[in-house]
Amino acid sequence: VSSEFEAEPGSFRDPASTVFYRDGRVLRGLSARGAADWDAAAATKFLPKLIEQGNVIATRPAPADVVAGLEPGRFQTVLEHDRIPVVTYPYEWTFSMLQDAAVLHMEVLLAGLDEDFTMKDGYAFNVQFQGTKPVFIDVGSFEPARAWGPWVGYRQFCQTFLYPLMLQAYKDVSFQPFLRGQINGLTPLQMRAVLHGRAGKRKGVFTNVRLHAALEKRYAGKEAQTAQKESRSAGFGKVQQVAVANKMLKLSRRLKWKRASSTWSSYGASNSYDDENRERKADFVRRAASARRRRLSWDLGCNDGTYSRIAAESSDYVLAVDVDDLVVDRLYRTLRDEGVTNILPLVIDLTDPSPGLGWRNRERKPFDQREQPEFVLALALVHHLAIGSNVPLPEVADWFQSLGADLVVEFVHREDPLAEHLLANKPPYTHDDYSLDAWDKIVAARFDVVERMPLPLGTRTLFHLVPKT
Amino acid sequence: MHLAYLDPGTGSIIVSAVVAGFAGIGVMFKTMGRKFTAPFKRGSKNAAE
Repeated sequence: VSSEFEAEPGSFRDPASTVFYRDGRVLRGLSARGAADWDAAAATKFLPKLIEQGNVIATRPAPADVVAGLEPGRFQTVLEHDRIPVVTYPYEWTFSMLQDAAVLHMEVLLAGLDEDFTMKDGYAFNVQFQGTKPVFIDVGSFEPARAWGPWVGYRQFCQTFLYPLMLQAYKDVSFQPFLRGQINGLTPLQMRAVLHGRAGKRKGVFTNVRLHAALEKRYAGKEAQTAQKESRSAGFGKVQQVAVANKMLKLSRRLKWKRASSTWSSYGASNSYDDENRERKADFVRRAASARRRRLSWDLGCNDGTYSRIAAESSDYVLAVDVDDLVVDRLYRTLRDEGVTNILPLVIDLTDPSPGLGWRNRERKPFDQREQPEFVLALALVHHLAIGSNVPLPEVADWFQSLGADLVVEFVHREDPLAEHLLANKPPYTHDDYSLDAWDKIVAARFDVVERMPLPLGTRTLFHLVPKT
Repeated sequence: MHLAYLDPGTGSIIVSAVVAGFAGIGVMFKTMGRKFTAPFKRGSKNAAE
């Protein structure tokens, strides 16, 4: 791949299919084998239908001028995909998002199996979100079932979909830190250790976890090729692959996460705002957001998404980010049920955001090194970073400035009940520098202040800022 | 024969046969057992390594 082509560092595991970019276009180069699989898949009924429904990413042969300059013979065929607005990873999704992605993956597999196609993997990272709609992106995964046998993606499906969902549904432990910790997901042995006692008797655990762990241990080091061959000659075929996919589909669907409340889950209903203050704040945000049409906006600390929706009025796409996965899960379900596709809710802790992960830390990109925002909302966020997590105020402002985007900050004064609540847990001397005066000075050194408005309630001030260059 | 780029895992293959309610699983075990242990004596724990 020559210099004008940029390789996707996360695409190397399947040698038959390689993703790269040119001029913002997403391209996929196929080997001779990959091309044969694609040609066969493109001629089916199921794949064009899945693409038309938006369940599989729109894909077409790349135009000749786009592939000009590629080393001759490097690929047999080059495809072009529609671009996903912002790439995200399963460890940034909520329970319902991972669940919807799992269901989609199994529906896609079943549609393929119906026409004698199978899939090479069962990996959660093969799904992306377009707003609240999950989309399967790895078209290189489809292959005609040349000889049947077990579905090779079963273990991956367990590790990156089923186990994280079970962990959260059966133990009320949020899966994100674990999926972020291991790029291949949770292992059967880890899950068996966690799902014991009552959880060990829940639906699907005996076979998919306990038996799985025992057999994995028993057959460690044995060649899977032998098992594949033997199961094939014993008659493991389409019927069995369909049965596995149906089991995974049903199990994924019926898992439920019941956490009734969290730190932030009733914030929208219980915060200190009355109607007047709420309206003034909404007007301010709308004024700032609509100053220009924005390609991408971020709402940091989005809670119930009220202001994400306002930003979405004048943005092509909005990332609604919060640290509380219950709050984000509710927002996702609400937006999904409304059919909103230009707001993507994500679970991110801004004091510990997604790092670069995988091979050479390049397979998965850090949160702030993907698409750059043009507009950023940070409403009632700074006091959490500064007081709650001890990030010095100037550092918070430096980071905001580094984003290079128009910014709306709601600064919560130290006299505000919510700031007082945070300060109450700290020794008196630790946050003497947290004040509106200090923030005004810090801001003036880094930003042009487009508008500054104290809210009538007297303990909060809104800023519309543009970074100085 | 056709191989996957992904190692599907021997244990995982057997579990998926159980999940599928695969009738041929007995046959599978029998022939696999023979293949995995045939060149070695009974009780040799590291037979296939």
